[in-house]
Amino acid sequence: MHIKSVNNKHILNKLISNINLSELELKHILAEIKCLTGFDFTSYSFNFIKRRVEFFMYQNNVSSESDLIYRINKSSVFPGLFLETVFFSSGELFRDAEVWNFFEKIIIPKLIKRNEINIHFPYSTGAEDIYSFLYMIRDFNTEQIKIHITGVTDKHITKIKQNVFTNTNVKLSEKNISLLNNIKGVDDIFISQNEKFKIETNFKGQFIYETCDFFKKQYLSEFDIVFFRNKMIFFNPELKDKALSSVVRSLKKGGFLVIGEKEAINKNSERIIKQVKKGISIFKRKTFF
Amino acid sequence: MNKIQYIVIGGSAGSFNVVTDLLSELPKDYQIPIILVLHRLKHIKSGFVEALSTKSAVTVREPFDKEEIVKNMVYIAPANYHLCIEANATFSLSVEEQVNHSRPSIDISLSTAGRSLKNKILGIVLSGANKDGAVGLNHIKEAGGYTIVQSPEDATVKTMPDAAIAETNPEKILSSQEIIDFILNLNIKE
Repeated sequence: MHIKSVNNKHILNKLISNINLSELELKHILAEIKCLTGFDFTSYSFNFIKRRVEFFMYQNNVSSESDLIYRINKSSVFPGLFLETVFFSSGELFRDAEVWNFFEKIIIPKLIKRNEINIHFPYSTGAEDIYSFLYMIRDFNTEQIKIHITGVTDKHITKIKQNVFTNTNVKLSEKNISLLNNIKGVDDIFISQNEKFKIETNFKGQFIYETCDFFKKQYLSEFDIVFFRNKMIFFNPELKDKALSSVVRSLKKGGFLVIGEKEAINKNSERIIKQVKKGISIFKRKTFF
Repeated sequence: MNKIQYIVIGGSAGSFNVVTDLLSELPKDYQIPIILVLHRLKHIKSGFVEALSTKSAVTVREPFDKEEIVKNMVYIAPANYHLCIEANATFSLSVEEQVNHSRPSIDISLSTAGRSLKNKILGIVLSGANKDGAVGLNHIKEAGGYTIVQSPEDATVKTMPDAAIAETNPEKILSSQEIIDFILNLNIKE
């Protein structure tokens, strides 16, 4: 399989530009965005949302707060483009290979014996974790598995359904793939079609797609696994606690929560979930809770 | 120069020895938190912190997201995350796009540190083979922080110091040993 080297020159230094919005300017912009899109970013991590707004301004040649507000209101496509910039996807499959190896070797063989398995990918902005997981279960009987995918927008759901990855995705994932057990390389995983790539899956279960506001819909003890990796890093501490409490409550007893390697759980959650192994960011809901 | 409360050091190719020399000279009671943002391979996670810890009398650790920055600690940006510094002196992490082919990006750490903590920050750029750190160091200077660049003549690879000097016009251009001495002299004993 031929994979071109990635030229990401186009993003060099743009993520850090010389635009420097004040807290007040950012507040105005976010209030306007909330009015137009319904998304409230005021409880996001300050540096993250500031950087995404400034990145968006840089990309679209917008020089000031007032110019941005004007163009967001004038253009029918601008609000959508803004959301795409904020809800980016990491582009990397099999991130933290040790987590996927642990799933394949320890968790999936035990879980697969259950009659019905519900798996949730809340707050989905990309397809990377979903298809990484589908690949890891390729050799198991998957008929009893329901995969619930909650997208942030309809556009994200459409993209997820396509199972199409670019040369950049493959290149970014190469190192991770080299650390997966029993995998020789990217040729084992991707099918190449007209310079695009698909993941070979053998999934026989059911997909349930939905677009909704993560913070408005609550699930109670419904899922065997919830993938919520590197989502809470974008929230401020209060919103993070709210999100964590929500995903923990959505787990069945004995269910698993997967978070990012450098995301920590809080004291409240520690009473309900327990890390399965030191150094692996997978937590199991205690059965007596 | 204002009272420096946080030190952020960015380095890439050729900077590891400078960092290990610094850590080996830090006294056990060194108070100012030091944040190291070093370019590293994303898939090699174990061994890096351990290797640096063996040289240091001060605890060396990779922070978790939203962890508070405390005194008498050396922090290292985790592999494959950008490390940002927030105004309430906590870390936040990000998996956004690579900057200058790097995650962690020195530019992001220096820029957020400068813009969040302003004149409390000392930013340092060491040896390296790309231009990461130049823009971020300038943001520290613009925000009133103090800036130092390793002398290109002293650096193993001078691309990064050259770029930082061109972008920032730093307060000081020092050799690696002078940088270490400067940092040691800042120690605040409480």
